[in-house]
Amino acid sequence: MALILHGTVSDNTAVLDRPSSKPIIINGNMAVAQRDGAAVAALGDGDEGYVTVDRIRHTIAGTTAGRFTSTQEFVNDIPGFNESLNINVTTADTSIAAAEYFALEYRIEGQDLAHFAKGESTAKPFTFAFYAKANAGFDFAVGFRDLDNARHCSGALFTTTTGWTRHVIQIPADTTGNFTNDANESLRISIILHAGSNFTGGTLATAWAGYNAANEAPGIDSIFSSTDNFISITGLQLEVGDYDINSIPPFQYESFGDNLIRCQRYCRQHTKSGNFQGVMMGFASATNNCRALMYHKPQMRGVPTVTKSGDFIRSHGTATALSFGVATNSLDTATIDWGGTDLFAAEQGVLITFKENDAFIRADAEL
Amino acid sequence: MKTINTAQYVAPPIDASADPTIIKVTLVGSSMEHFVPVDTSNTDYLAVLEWAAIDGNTIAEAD
Repeated sequence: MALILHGTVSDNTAVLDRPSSKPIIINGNMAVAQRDGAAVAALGDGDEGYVTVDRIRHTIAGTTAGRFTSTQEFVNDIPGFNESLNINVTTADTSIAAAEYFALEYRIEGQDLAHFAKGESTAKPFTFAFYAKANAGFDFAVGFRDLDNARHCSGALFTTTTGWTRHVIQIPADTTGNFTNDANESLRISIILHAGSNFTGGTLATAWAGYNAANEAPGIDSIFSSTDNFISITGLQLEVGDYDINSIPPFQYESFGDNLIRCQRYCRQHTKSGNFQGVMMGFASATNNCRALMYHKPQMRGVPTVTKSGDFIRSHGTATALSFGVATNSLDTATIDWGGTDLFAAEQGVLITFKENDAFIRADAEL
Repeated sequence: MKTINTAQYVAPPIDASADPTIIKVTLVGSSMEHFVPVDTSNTDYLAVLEWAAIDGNTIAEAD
């Protein structure tokens, strides 16, 4: 369903023909944080991946001394938003080696990008907008990277302020290279906060070109320059078309429930919210083994990695923590082997529950 | 995926001689076990392959 919006802006009358009914960026308002909504500290000693808010990747390359805390931060000083992602530096890195890199990334499946017509003569421009605030004015870069055709474009640097500022980054249309129509990553949007000379040694790629790391982030400052530093972001938005700060359409809101379901295509975490809460049903094949069914709903982007943390037990039995293994896995379900000596009655159904400590079981099919 | 410590194939549940479809992975500094599918659309599997390509790193056979 196309959504047609009409509105008067300061420089002209804008007519927005938004070609999708839902925002392209999922969880742009940082509302969903399945993995951990609280502060996650001591990050930066490796590629951190997804740690707090859903869909926002913390990508680290090289070996930096910089360390940071990532938090889903509740905000009340930006109308229309309740949450942001906060990155707070806890250890500085003022000696930046060439290979160091830290970016907050949003990665998109190729099959969700057809409406940009990339690679065609009718290709459409991209506009990326977001709100940011920091402890001072920093220049950072926003990089767009086409993984299918090894191309990139970094638009222009943006400068933070100590208040919330909406930044609008225009990326031109690219008539070279189609996005691949599949569920794998085709487009990577990177807010680059720290980079060594491997990524800053060239000239900022303000037009689409073959990927050259040195042209990703020339001229940026480093978020790791001081432990005084922080940056908060929210309201991430990607639009088809060419907009500026006057014509960019409003942030497109989703209900929390819709947002959560869209996030669960990439990650579904069942976190304990009460003692002995049920997790999954299984059937004991013997006194030491039970095979149980774990549903992935909605269907996941790809076959997920399954991770368990904390202790699980069988209901109405000895409260001995069970061993855990994954027997089979698919887009829709996994079968889990729970084990323990003489904990089951053979040929009987079993309810697996959380024990008393913090625990979760997660299916992760992130990009 | 952060720095991988160990990786080991999980024996298939029905036919142990079949090709494994899951790798059990642990990360440096963590005792948590991650069960990664042998599937190139899974980014953790790609990270395991990258790790295994480094001299000295091996995905161990299933028990």
